[in-house]
Amino acid sequence: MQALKDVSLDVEVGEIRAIIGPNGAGKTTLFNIINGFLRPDSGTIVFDGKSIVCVRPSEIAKRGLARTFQIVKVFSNLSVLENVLAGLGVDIYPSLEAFQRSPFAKEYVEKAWKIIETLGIEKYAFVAAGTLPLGLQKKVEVARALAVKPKLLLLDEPVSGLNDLETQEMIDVVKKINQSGVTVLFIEHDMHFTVNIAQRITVLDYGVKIAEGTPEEITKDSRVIEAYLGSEEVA
Amino acid sequence: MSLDYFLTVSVFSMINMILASSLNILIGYAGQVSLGHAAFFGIGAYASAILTVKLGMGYWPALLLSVFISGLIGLLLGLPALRVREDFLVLATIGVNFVVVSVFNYVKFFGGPYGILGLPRPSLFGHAFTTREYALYVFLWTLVVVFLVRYLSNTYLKLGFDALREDEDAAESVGVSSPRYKMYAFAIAGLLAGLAGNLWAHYMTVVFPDNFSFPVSIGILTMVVIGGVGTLIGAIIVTILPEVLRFARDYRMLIYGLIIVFTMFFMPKGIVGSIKGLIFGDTPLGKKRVEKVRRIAGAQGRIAGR
Repeated sequence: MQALKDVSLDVEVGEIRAIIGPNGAGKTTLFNIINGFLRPDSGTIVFDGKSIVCVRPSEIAKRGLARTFQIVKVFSNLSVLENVLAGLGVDIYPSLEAFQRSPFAKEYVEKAWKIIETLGIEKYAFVAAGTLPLGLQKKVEVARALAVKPKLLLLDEPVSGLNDLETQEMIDVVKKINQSGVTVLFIEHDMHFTVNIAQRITVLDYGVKIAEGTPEEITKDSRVIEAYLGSEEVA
Repeated sequence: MSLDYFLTVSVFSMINMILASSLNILIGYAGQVSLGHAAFFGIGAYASAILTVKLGMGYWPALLLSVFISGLIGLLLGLPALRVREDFLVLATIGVNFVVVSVFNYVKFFGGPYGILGLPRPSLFGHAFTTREYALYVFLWTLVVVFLVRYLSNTYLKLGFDALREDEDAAESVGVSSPRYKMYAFAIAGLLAGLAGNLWAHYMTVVFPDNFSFPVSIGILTMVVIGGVGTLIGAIIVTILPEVLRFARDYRMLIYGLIIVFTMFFMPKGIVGSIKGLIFGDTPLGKKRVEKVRRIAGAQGRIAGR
């Protein structure tokens, strides 16, 4: 059984790229391979000119690749502020500076606060992240990922489970992040969100890439429609 | 109540505080539950016993070396934690405890069931410490440990541990290498437990394998859980309670057990955590830090009120 087969993907610097596909298409697996949680059996992943196959996820994060999770994984018992501060430590953790630097030093708190403001979650800065509703937890995850100072940000279903207002806020946030120079690659089932912000869309089905193109091209593509709705022939 | 009795109980309390601090770094900070902590304690004690009694080394070099050895072995015994998580780690650490005690018991070099006798008390300028001086000496080390832990809890090391405890995948995603941070936790815990072992061994001047058996590990865990994460009160309670309850004679341990069960039942966050929660409400950050952050962010004219 192969979760992914011969998937080839080129994400351009500065773009917003969506990956869509029916459940079980291998989208999250692809993310887990990109950020180092899983090792591909074959093939290469080149990030910023260097191969990142068989590199630890923590090292990949340090090289500028951050992500969020489909099922939110905030640091529940830490305050929102600490979640963001934790992201700011990305360069510090591997060195002995971790034994010296305080996350509550002025420079880190100021940086963290800026990110918290970008997401508009100042009100919750001192609250334990795990006690917040889903929509806010998703924002905390994005804030934490931003703290890693990513060149490439992977968002795994950033708006699943969010209401219309929250989805709209997330659209604005992701656009803002992208305008600040961060390349965004995201997985999403919500077509409103996807079509609204993606410049290009890649479609996976059963672990295989079946289509790639602009939102207009993709919504008309017969293979895509077939993957989602089934073919006209009845098996 | 004689002075000696008082001193002994105090020394045990302080050594237990060091042990609780040590285990707290593993469990409370890094989330690596160990039920074999007495093994680290024992390794510190036995290392020092062998160095001083069998190899004739002086106390001070033996202190350094025994603490170093404990840290190193802590690191090695932490290796299973890189492969197993949660309940399996608990079982693995219990196993480590039994293995270490068996080695003390059955390997001749370690003295077998009769242990190692005649450990020297440390001496300074040719003057061997009296019991009173030794108590003071232990007190000084306890202060050092308390300040060390306080210092560490304000660093990125601690935040890395927090991240690891809360979610390993998410921790990796922000750059915390989980093997590295687990090793850190086990090494620091090993160092501190080794120090406690050294202090204990040279106070008692004898070491036996039974002093470091599995029930001792449970005792150390109880101290951490009862006081709450990052506190020392649990160590004092666990040490003193059985003494205070001596009047109950045969029922002493029964009452002790009940008190502990009830504390855990009604104060799941530990004594300190629960009382703090009652007074300040649930603030994961702590008042001082919230104020500090408000000052920093507020100075830029950007803080939103609660």
